[in-house]
Parts: sequence; C-alpha cells; structure tokens
Amino acid sequence: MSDFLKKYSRHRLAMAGLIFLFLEVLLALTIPIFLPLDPIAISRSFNAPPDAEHILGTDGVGRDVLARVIYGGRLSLFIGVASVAITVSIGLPLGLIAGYYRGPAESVIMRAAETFLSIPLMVFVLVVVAIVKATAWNVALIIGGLGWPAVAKLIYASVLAESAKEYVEAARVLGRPNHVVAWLEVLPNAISPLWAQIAFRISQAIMIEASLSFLGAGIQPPAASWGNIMYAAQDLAVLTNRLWIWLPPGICLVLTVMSINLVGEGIRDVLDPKMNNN
Amino acid sequence: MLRFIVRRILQAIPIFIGITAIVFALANLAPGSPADVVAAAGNLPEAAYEELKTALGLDKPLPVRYALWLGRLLHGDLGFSSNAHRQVWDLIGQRIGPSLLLAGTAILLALTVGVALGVMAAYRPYSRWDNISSALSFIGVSTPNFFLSLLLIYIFAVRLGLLPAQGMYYTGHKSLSGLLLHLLMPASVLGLQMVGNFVKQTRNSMLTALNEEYIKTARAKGLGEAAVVLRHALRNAWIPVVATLGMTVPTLVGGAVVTEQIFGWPGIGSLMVHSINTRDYNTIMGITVLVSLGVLAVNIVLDAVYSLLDPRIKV
Repeated sequence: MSDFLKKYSRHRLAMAGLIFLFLEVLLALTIPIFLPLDPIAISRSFNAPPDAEHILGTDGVGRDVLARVIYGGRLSLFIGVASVAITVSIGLPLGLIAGYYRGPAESVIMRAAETFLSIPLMVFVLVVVAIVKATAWNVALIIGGLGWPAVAKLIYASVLAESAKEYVEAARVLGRPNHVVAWLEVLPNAISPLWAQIAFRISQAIMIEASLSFLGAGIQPPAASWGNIMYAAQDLAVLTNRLWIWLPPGICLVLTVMSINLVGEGIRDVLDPKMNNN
Repeated sequence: MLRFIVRRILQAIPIFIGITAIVFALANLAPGSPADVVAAAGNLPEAAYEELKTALGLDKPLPVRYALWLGRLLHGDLGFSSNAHRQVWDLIGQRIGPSLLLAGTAILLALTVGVALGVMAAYRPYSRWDNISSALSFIGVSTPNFFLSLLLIYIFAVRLGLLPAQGMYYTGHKSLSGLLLHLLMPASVLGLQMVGNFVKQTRNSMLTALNEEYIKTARAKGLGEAAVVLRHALRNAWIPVVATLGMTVPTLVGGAVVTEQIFGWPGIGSLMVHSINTRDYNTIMGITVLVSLGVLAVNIVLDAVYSLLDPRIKV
C-alpha cells in the first residue's frame, strides 16, 4: 500500500487530480454549512449578473446559481459513486463466475454482456428514464445497473488468465471448495485492473447524468444538477448573454471529469506499467 | 473465410434475440402500452374487457406476443408515432441520411487526425507530437460533448459569426458549401471523442511495426523515411485500427443523440430526444431497436473485413 502511494505520488497530474477531487468533495460537503445557500429559493431578481449578494448571479427564475452549482456538484458526486457501486456489485460476481466456472454460465453471461453492449449506453439510459421517474436514486440505479458488462468483461478476462496458473490448480487439488478458491485465491490476484476502471466508470456516469439532465430527460428542476442548470443554455439568449448561468457548471463538470480520469490513469500506470502508453 | 463469416452470424443470433427481447420488455413497461390500456379499462363489463384483451393480442402468452412483435419488426412495422401521426418507419427513414452523413464525417475526421497523430507519436515517442496527441485524446474523453458544443457555438457562431449554429442548410437554398459549414462543428465534436482511441491504437501498432525486421531491411535498402513509415509500417499497422472502430460505434451513437439535439441536426438523435420529451414510445422503441441492431451489424461487418485484411485472425 505504501509502495503504491509512493509510486502514485510521483505522477504529478494524477496527484493534482486527487487534490482537486479532495477539495471539491470537501467544499461540496462543507460550504452549505458556512454559507446560507439555498438552491431552490427564489430571490427577487432573476437573470441577474453576479453581484455581492449572488456571487454567480441568478438564473431565469431567480435562483442563486452558486448554490445550484454546489448542490449540483453533490448530486454529480453521488451519482458517480452510487452508480459505480451498483455496476461493480453486478459486474464483478458475473465476471468472476464466467471466468472461473466457464461452461454454460460463461456463454450465458458473455452473450448477455454483448447484448447489453450493443445497445448504446446513452440511448439505453434515455429509454429507461423515459419510463421510470428520474430521481437521483433512479438515475444512479439505471446508469449503474446498465453499466455492468464493461466491468464483467474486464474481470472475466483477468480471472480467465489467472485461473490458468498453477497455484489455482494446486488449491483445487488440496480440496478447497470452488467458491473459496474463486473468491479468496483467484479474485484478489485478478482484481487490480478494476481500480482504474472504477475511476473511469465514475467519470462516465457523471457525464451521462449531466447529458441526460441537459437534454431535459434527467434530474428535474427545482432539484439542481450541473446538466439541468446548463439546460437553459439551449436558449440562444442565455447562451449569448448570460454566461454566468451555464459556464460555471460546465467548467466544474469538465474539471471534475478530468480529475477523476487523471486519478484513473495514475492508478493504471502504477498497477500496470505495461499499459503505460501515453 | 466464408465459414468464419457464417459462424460470426450464427453467434450473433442469441444477441439479436437478446436485444429485441429487451426492447420488447421495455415497450411493455412503457406507459400507454397495450397492458396499460387494459389496466385502465379494468371497470369495463367482463365480456368487453376480454374482447379488448383479445383485440390487443394480450390473451396470448408472452413468448407468442414477442414472436408476433418480432415478425412485425422484421417486416419493417415499428408501429405508429403517437406524435407525428405517421409510421415510425417513415419518420426514421427520413432522418437516417443526415445521421449517417454526420456520423460518417465524424469518423473520417477522427480517423484522419487520429492516425496521423498516432503515426507521428510512434515515430518519435515522448516528442512534442506525442504529448500533443495524448493531450488531445485526454481532452476528447474528458469533455462532455454537450458542453464542448455550447462552447463552440458561443465562440464560432455567436462571437465570431463564422459558422452556423443550427440545422443542416442555410434557409432558402441548399448548397454543398452550406452543408459543409453546418457539418463542421457537430462533426468535430463527435470526432474529438473518438480521436483518442484511434491515436492510441495507431501508436501501439506502429510502435510494434517499426521494430519489425522488414523495416530494418527497407531502411538498409536505402528507402526514404517517409516511404518506410507510410508504405511499409503503416500498411500493416492500420489493420488493428479498423478493428477498434466497432468499439467506438456505441459511443458515437450516444454522442450523436446529444450533439444532433444541440445543433438542430435533422437526424435520428434529435428525433430520439424529441420523442422522449413527448413520450412517443413507439418511436423511442423503434429507434432503440434499429440503432442496437445497427451496432451489431457494424460489428459483424468489421469482423469480416478484419479477417479479410489479416488472414491470421480467427475470432
């Protein structure tokens, strides 16, 4: 572990990403304690440019943009973490079963994975969101639930390679039950590609939620999401004259996604130096 | 060769059934589906209720209903759009051209830029070009395309007034130059998210190719560097790049939904967003099933092309 941290800290960009994320989480959690920010309260002025009272101005109905950006950040982080937890808890066991037990389970699981991968994730999520109500939990469940094949395929490939090694055969010969060998011997040795993948899945989930809400199909106002704040910019008047509404959430979104991806690349470089091709 | 393609198609059959079964299930869960109509008619007299169920085909077991639905699908019957009051198939047919044009242009842009950068990056690893290409790849995967689109529209359409922000042609006259100007921004946005993949793949396979013995031979023969790199190394290195094209198609489709909507491009993507906002479920399901089957078909074709180009491949 300390070896990992030492190697990771040598990657300057990856460290910068980690520090940015740390600060962001800290700010998203603590700012509302110190500042009386309300993302849904409507003030007297609407479409007002930034001033002392509203640091990032107000939106079309008079809500404070700064408050909405901060609460939108909380939502993005929640969606990212919750959906990846769901993705991993479905994809990891399925990948392990397919790769370790092989046989009919393998062909069923891998065919199912290919089926799900044929339906473009963004389209799939849009369709399901059109049927159920797009609450934060539902969006996390949908993005997480539909994202399992990528994780399953990754674990599958890794478990397949690991299972061919001699110690696995030895453990079986010693009479250890199959599920013990799979979960306690093979998995710990096969899991390392997952860590970087988790970071990439988080950033992808955040981007999908933002796109969904930007299109008007995701989180519905008055609840705040970076995507639904930027929805206003589909109106040319907002895009042209009210940058304070759409630029801040956009910049936060890009910086967040970049930081998470930098962390992911840092983890991948440390755990798997062969993959280091950038 | 032929055996390979036949086997690949046979492998795709369960996936075809899987995709159609998922969309069928979603269509049944959607509000306004036949099941909903029957539920809403719950307080009808018994006989009328049964008659309604029979008329909608709901008296039949689920697998039979799926088979009937699949049969209609294979005949191109995707149902009726509640929104446009037309056959869904007609609506989609009208929009498929612009979507293919946009997606094709985006792929072409991404391939050209990606392969060029990948070749330069592999020729001089860790050089400035290598750094530029990894920076561009990173920006491509880390910038949500709707935000990039907003920025481009703001800069090039609103501030500089150089490019049109909406649609496919200038109103009033259809011209090729107008079309190209309208294509530039959405195709660049869509292309940028794919560039990284092509750069990485080209760089990797070029690095391998440049270390091969036949490259040393070519150099020893006194061939110029350009000929060595382009005619000898790239000729072998571009084949794996084709193989990764299939992986990028689902991302491309997802990106097209958002990008078409922002740029008012009259394609399948903006039709999808419109259908979702107006809850036009027949159109939503029709697009979903066609797009997914399209992804599957593209992958089969690419696998076949790949096996043609490189006879060593056995998938």
